[in-house]
Amino acid sequence: MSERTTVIVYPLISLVVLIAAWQLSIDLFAVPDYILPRPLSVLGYLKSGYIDGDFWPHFAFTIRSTLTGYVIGCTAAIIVGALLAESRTFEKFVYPYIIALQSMPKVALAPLILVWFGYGLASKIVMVALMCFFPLFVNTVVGIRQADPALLNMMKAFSAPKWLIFFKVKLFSAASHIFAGLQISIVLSLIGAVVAEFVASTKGIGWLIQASLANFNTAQMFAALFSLVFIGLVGTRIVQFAHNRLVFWDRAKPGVTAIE
Amino acid sequence: MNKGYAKLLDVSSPHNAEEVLTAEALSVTYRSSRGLHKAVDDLSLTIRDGEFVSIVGPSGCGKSTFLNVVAGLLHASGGRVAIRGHAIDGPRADVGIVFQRPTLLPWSTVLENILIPIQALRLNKASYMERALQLLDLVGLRAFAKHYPDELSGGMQQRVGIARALIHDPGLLLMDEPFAALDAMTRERMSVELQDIWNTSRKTVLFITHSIPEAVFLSDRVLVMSSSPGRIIHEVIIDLPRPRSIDVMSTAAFGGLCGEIRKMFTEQLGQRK
Repeated sequence: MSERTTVIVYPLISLVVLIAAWQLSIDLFAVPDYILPRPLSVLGYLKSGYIDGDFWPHFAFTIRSTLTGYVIGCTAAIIVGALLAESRTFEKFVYPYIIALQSMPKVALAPLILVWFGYGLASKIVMVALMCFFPLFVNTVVGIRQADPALLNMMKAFSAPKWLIFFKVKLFSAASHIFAGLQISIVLSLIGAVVAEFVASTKGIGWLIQASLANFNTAQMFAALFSLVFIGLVGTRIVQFAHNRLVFWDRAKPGVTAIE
Repeated sequence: MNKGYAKLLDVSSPHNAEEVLTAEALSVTYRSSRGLHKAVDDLSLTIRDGEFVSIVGPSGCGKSTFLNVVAGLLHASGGRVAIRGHAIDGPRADVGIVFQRPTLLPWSTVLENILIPIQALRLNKASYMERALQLLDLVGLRAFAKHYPDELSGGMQQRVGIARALIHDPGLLLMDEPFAALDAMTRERMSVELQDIWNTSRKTVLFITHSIPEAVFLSDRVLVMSSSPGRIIHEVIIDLPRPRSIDVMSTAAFGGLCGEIRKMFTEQLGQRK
């Protein structure tokens, strides 16, 4: 069997076993539907959700807030991270507050953000951006600071101005760290979106989970959860693909761990 | 070797040529945890236009420190050092430098790497493209212009480093043990190649090494540096005819010159005991 097929076939086998065990345990222990729904009823909700289209508005809402917030948060993180790594003055004034903010659980801010930005899309975007910001910010700073001193020295010896050293050496040196941060931020941005929808929303996959709770519709909850898994997986895959494509010189060391 | 050709190129001992690099009573002091450490002390030398001068010395004698002062990366604590009469107060546009490691940007192609000094000096990249390709010809890497550094061997990478140091046509080329990281075979071949490059470009070169044969093979003059304090203790004029082939290394004259330099080190060691 080729490596490609094993990557697909083996997890598929465990999935079938898992679903079988799931169904079997319901039949065996007579688990009520509101505690553990039957796989088929979850599938039913996925079908009515995505084929008949009941879920699409929620899916679109969550995707929009997650994606917009992700792009804003990540862009801000890279810019602020670069400024901080490059400017000692900026670091002195700003760093203590960023550290303080970082040690605060961002989800605790969700109610406040709703007060400030309303119950619509804006508050979700702000929440997502806030969640994405910190891990990527820290990774950007660490990555830039880790630039090879020999390369920096070389640039200096050839009288390179600071901006050229930044764009030719430091940014590239930080690339692997930045991508590691981008990957963590995918998952965090989903958390941000769902939490904001939990607190107050009229739409979104998070809202769907919340609404399912009202009538103990666990089957719909499961369908919503699988939708989140799907979004998270696809997002992570896209970032991974971009990482491998763009950071071609650093393929030997893929496992750069992010901080936070 | 064609004698006539050798004579044609034999323009060594340019004693009346312009002074490119002058150092007078130069000293560099480091502040370390164990107090002050004098890396270079009372170092004086003059390098004239078109000369290939080597400084040999044991590791840690301060020869790389001196080179970093000339490159404008380190400040001297005392004395004077100047390039064409101008005191050095930072990296200069008319200096090229080859480092011990190739220090190429792994995310840039060979050609982009060579053009780094042009970008650093805010010159027009396009107008130096042809020169970059000529230099690639000179170091025998024309076919690798679009390759990335990790696709090249250590010796090839260092040749890219040499081409990069020459792209902006510097008046002075600094080489800081450029072949130290290479294996012995490659190292010898690189010496021969560097001599060929020097024969075509006739740059003024300050070459730092701890290999005596390498210094003798390449240089017009070899300056012997002592360690702690780092200063020039001896000068040997290398009057072997150019161009020199690798066979010159097995001649008695070559052996004699190497022996003379080696004696300086053993004497110094003896004195210290």
